[in-house]
Amino acid sequence: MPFETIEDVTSADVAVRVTGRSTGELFMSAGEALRAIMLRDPGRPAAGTELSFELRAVSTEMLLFAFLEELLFHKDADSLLVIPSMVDVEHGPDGASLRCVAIAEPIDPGIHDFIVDVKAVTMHRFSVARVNGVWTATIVFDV
Amino acid sequence: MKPGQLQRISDYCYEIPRDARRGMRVPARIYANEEILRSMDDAVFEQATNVAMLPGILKYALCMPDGHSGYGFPIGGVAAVDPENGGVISPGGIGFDINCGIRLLATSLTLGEVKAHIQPLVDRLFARVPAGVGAAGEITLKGSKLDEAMTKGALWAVQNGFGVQEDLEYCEENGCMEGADPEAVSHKARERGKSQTGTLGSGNHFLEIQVAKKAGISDEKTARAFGIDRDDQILVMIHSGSRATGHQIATDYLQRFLSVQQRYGINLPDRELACAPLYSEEGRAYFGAMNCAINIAFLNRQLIMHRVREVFADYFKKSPRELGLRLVYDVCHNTAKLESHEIDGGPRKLLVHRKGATRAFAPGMRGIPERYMPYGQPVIVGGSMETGSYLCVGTARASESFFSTVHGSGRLMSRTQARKQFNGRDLQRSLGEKGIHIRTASFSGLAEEAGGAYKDIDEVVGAAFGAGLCAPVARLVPLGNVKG
Repeated sequence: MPFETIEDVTSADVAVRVTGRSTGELFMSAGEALRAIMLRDPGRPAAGTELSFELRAVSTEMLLFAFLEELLFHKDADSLLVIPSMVDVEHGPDGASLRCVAIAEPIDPGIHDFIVDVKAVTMHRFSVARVNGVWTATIVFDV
Repeated sequence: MKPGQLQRISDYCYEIPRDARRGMRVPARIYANEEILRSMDDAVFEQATNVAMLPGILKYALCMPDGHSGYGFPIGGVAAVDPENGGVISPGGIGFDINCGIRLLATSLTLGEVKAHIQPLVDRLFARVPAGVGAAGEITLKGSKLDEAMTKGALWAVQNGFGVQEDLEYCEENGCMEGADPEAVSHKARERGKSQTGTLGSGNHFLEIQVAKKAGISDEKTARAFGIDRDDQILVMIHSGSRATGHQIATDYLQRFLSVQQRYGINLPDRELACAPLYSEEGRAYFGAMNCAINIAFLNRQLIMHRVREVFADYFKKSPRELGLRLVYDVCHNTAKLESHEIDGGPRKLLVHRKGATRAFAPGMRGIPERYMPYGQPVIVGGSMETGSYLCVGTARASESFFSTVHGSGRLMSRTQARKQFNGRDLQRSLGEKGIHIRTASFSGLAEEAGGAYKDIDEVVGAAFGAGLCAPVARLVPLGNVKG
C-alpha cells in the first residue's frame, strides 16, 4: 500500500502518509490516497475519457499541493473523478513542473460510493521529503 | 501538552500560560469541564498555542467546549485581532468551508400531526434537496449573476423568488455580508462552485426534522420569543456552507499568503496559519473574497430552506404561511468578522476569527433582530442525528469570549475510528427502530457521523452554560435526517 492513514494528527479531518520511489510515483500514490479517502471501493476506472494537464510550482512540495488541488477542482467544477495514470515530474532551478495523463471518469452515484467529500488540501503538517531513497509526503485533507 | 499541565481558571476554563511556548503573544484558554478537557486530543492544545502566536491577537486564543483538532486553528477556535495594530487575517482561522452554518426553521405543526408522516417527508426532502458528492443544484451561477449573488447573499435568493423578505431579518448580517468583492474571487473559484449552490454537501452537513418537547425547554420565555410556542413543536434544521466556491477561495488565499507572509515578518509554526495583515493588499483582497463566500453560504441555506418549505407545503397541501414555516435564525460557524468589542474600557473594532464557533451576542447588542433584542441572539447548536441539538441564547457573560460559543457537539473519534466502530446500514436500521428515519447519500459517511463519534451534547452545552458562553433554551430531538 503506497499510503497509510495517520490517526493522531486530526480528529475532524484525514491525515495520510504516502510514499514512492520517485516523485512521479509519490504523486500517483497521493492521487490514489485522495481517491481512497473519498470512495469506499476505489477500484479501477470504470469508463472515462483521457485528460492531461501540466503544472508548475516553486518547489516539489507546492507542486504536490497544486496537483492534488487540480484533482479536487475537476471533481467539483466538472463532476469528474480524475485518476492519474502517469505523472512525470521534472525539477529545475526555478522549481518543479509536471505533466499528468489521467482518466477522467464522470461521477455517478450509482457507481461511486462516496464516504466523504474532500474539500481541500491543507498546509497543516504538509511535507515532502526523500528519506533513505524513498519519497514520503504527509498530507492532511479537509473533509 | 497534557490536560494536567493546564492551569485551572474556573470549573469551566483552563489556561495555557503565555510562557508555555516561545512565540505566544497571549495565553490560550480552553473552555471545558474536567471530563471534556480530558477527552480533547493533545493536538487541540498545540493548535491553540499556535493561534496565540498570531500577530495582533488580543487577550486570549480561545477554544470552545466542543473543540477538537483540525488544521491551523482547532475546530472551536476563536481569536480576535486588532487590525489597527498589525492584526492579521488567516484562512486557517476560518476554515475552507467559509460560513458553514446552521439555520433553524420553525413550524406550527406538532409531533402528533407529523409523527406518521416523518418517513415520506424525509424521503421527499431527500429527493428534493441535492445531497452528496457530485450533486448539482437547480441554478447555475456564472458571470454577472454570480457577482450579484456573491454581493447580495440571501437577498439575491429572496429577490429571485426563493423566500420572503422577513427571512433576511432573521439571519446574521441579514443574510448579506457587507464588503464582498467579487473581483477578488478567482476564475477557478467561480468555476468550481458554479453548480453547487442549493446543495447540502456531504460529511457532517445535514437537514433534520426535529421536535421540541416540553421537558426539553429550559427557558420558556425565550423559547416563546424565538417562536417555539407549543408543546411538541416541529422544527427543521439545515447545516451547510459555501460549498466549493468557499473551498477554492480559501485555497487560493492560503497559497497567496504563504508566498507573502515573510514580507510582513510573519513566521508561524503551522503553515496552515498563513496570514497577512488585514490592512494589507493581500489581507483586504482575502477579506473581500471571503465575504463573497459568506454570502454564497447564506444564499445556499436560503435555497435549501425554500425547497424545504415547498416540500412541506406540497405534502400537507397548505401554504408555508399556514404551516407557520418561519425562520428562527441563521448562524455562521466559519468566519472572520469586523466587530466592535470593549477593550481596556473602550470600544475597539476587532477582526474576530471563529472557526467552528458561533457568534453569541448578548441582549441589547446591535446586530440582533429587533424582536429578539431583549433576549439575546439565538445560537443554534447542531448535534448528532442520534442525540439531538440545542437552541441556545447569547448572554452578557460571554464578553470574555468576544461573544462566541459552541457550534456543535464536537468530534470524539476520528473519522477512521468511527468507521471501524459503526456500520452505516446498521445505524440507519437502529435509528429507524428508535423512530429516527435517515436517508443518506453515503452509508460509509453515515457511520462517521454516528452519535458515539461525538461528545455528549448535553455535557458540551452544559459546559458552555457553566462558562457563561451561552444559555440553553430548548433541546431539539431528531425525528428524521437527510445526510449528505
